Amino acid sequence: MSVTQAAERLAAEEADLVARIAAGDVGSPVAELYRRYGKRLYRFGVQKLGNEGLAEEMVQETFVRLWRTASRFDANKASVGTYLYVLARSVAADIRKRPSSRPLLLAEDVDVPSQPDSVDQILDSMIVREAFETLRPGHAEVIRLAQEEGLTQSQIAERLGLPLGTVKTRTFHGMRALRTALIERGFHAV
Amino acid sequence: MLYDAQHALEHPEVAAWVLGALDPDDLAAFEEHLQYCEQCQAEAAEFAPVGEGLKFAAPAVTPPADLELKTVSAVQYAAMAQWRTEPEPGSRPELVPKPSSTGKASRWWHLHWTNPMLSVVTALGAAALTAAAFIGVQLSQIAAPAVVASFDLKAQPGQHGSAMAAARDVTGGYAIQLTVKNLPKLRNGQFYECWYAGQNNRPGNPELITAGTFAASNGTFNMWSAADPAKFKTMQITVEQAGNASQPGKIILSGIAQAST
Repeated sequence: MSVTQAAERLAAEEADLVARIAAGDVGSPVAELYRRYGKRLYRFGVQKLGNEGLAEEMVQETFVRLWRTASRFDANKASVGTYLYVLARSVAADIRKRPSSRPLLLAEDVDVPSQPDSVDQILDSMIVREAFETLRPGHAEVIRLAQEEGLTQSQIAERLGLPLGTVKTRTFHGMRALRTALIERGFHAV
Repeated sequence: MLYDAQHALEHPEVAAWVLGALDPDDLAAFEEHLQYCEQCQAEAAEFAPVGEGLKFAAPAVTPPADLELKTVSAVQYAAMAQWRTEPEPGSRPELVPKPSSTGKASRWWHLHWTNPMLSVVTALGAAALTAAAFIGVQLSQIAAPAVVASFDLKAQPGQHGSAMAAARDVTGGYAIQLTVKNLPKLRNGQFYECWYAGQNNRPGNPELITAGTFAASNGTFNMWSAADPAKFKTMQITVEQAGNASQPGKIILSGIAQAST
């Protein structure tokens, strides 16, 4: 089976799950879609809302809205994944508007990470995280320290107690492995 | 350009350069090398979107284990609220099939007789249910009560199937949403029953409160019980035979309450 055929079969399967929800089955189809998208949506929620409790709320409300609108879902217009992210983005926006959800800190005190805007960017951000999680721990750690903590190679070597050459080669092989994992997941930018 | 392993060993700095992680001395030397090395230029071009993607990577967080149950429960609660206010026969899954009157009557009497305390609890639950029905609570107009406990029910030895349940604290009792999968098939006259068991439950001294009965091996059922899952921490699914209340039914699934935070 080709990649395209597998993707089409998956899309049809997920559209069928939504059709079952539209028909009133709010048990296993909801659970199955949660198992496929719950983790990604939760991460999206944490990214958008900066709070794990609000992210939980966003995930639950996203699935409630999926149930409410399931009969209007059109598989010819969007995949189930894209549809869920559109719903999640809307839910997150509603939660952010709520006075009780607003941070007490002034805007300039909050270190807001880069945030994706379009659904494609959101999906990419999830793919990058999932691809990153496939790396060997040694590779992932040196890339994480460079990317998230801004350490140089010699600082990473010192932090991890490794020879500098090892850090350089781990970074290189980690980035290659990450690129391969991204391509396998259809990351559109590579 | 083909990947040149030997070249990669000589210039692994290209990956750190893309990440902006080269030390100042290495940075100057590598950028000078990069000006004329086509292999490193090609590697840098390949790594650039990877480095860019990392800046937007979703946070490395994992949802709590009970979020699946909470999410499914939230949808079921919303559906239940709509069904109660806008009944749509034909599009509505079966909620709680009526139990067999013969079997249930005997079983209730048996439980009340062996433990009078349970009869009080049961009566309170029944009264609460009646009161809720009388008042006609419009569930769609209230927020979904919090899940106070969740259950992941596993098959007992020699049995198969699984179930998940969530208990919500509602006025006068606990609403339970139970989703079962692949339970053993029933024979004529049999039905499933969901029970709460207390910690001292044992043969001859039953500490059991029913949560409801149902007759499908797959599906989601909404039930009600007065049993507090903080005290009755074990949930069991049994197979019961109508008209035979002398012995508890065979336990097919069992699980312990996980308190929700």
